[in-house]
Amino acid sequence: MDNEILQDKLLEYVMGSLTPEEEREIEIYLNDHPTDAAYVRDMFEVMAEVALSQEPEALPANAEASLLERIRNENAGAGKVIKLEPIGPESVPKAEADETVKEQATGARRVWLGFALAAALAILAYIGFRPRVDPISRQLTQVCAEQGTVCEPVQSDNGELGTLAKRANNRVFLVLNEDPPAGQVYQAWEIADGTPISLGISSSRVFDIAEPLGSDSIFGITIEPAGGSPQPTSNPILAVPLS
Amino acid sequence: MTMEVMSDAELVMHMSARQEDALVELHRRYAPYLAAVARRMLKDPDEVQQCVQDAFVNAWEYAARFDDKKASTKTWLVTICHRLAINRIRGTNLDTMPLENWDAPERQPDHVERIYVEEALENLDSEEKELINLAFFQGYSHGQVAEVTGRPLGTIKSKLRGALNKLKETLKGGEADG
Repeated sequence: MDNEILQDKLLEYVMGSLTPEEEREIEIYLNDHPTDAAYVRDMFEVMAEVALSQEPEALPANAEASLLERIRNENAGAGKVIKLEPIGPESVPKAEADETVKEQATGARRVWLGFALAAALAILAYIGFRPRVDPISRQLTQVCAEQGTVCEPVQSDNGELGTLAKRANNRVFLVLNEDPPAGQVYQAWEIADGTPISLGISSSRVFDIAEPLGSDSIFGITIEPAGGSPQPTSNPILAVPLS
Repeated sequence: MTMEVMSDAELVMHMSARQEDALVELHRRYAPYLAAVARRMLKDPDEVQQCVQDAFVNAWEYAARFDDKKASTKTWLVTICHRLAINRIRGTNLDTMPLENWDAPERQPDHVERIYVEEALENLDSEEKELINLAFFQGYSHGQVAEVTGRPLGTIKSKLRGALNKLKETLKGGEADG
């Protein structure tokens, strides 16, 4: 990125005027660029000092009690369950599929429960929080910050498709920019020796592949009818060599 | 040790262990300042109070993720509050929001940090103050700032960069002298 454009983006990040997607890109960038990250931290500190130079305002008498009541109520609701759509390979043996579904659902449930608890809350990743960010972006930011993970945008002829995180041990985490078309699903494939093996379907835009993939294989995504297909029925929208 | 004598970072650590007393103490220290930030941005008193409460609920929920190597507690809190206020502003029509001149805060001789900030703000020219007001306190994007001021986008960007760098240099100088 051109240095001046980058500096502008960093400044807009501090001012809070970027879109969530742009913020996510900046956060991924900052994870690998400590000098710019230090600049951003300095700018946050400067703007905080400026903000805190305002005359303090008197609070309503019940402000503290109201806050405590709210956190107690929200903690009490932390156990509510969000219905998850199972994500599982259709073409693998049932026992293995059940295990995969269980793993994926557990991971997803953790994320969604965390977000359900947060409800109107959140985090701005670089200095520890992000107001009302969607949980997918938050999870992507966390994955990209893991040691050994390489995150990169993935493109098609029509533009950017999303972000692929190649994690340690050849695990893959993919966030696409768009949900699949109505009535269809995304299906992930591992293509080894020219043979596609289903890794699972998703009616959202996220794939969290917990199983390590072959280092010489290709990771691909197709759009399939609801329920997925035993073999791809459309050209892949994404095919990335993992080597 | 009582909460009153703990540092801000220690309070956040206790918040992550779900100690409500720590939240109460942090709220006592910073809520009036966050309310001032939110008031400047949101105007409506009910919305201001809701924004401040949201900020502390966020801080409570995400205390475990707070990293004092990345930001001071006050920066963390201010940024949470600022972002929540921006989200609320974006739900309104920016075109209808009044432009305000920068109101430099009155001196508070008993608050050394605030004196430094006032001095830093005094080093900005009126245009730089206005741009920071629009971009930070009114939640305008650079493009919107260019639109409402009638100045070229490139000028807005370079002026804002310059203003923040100037503030940074002055505040760092103040810290060094202090």
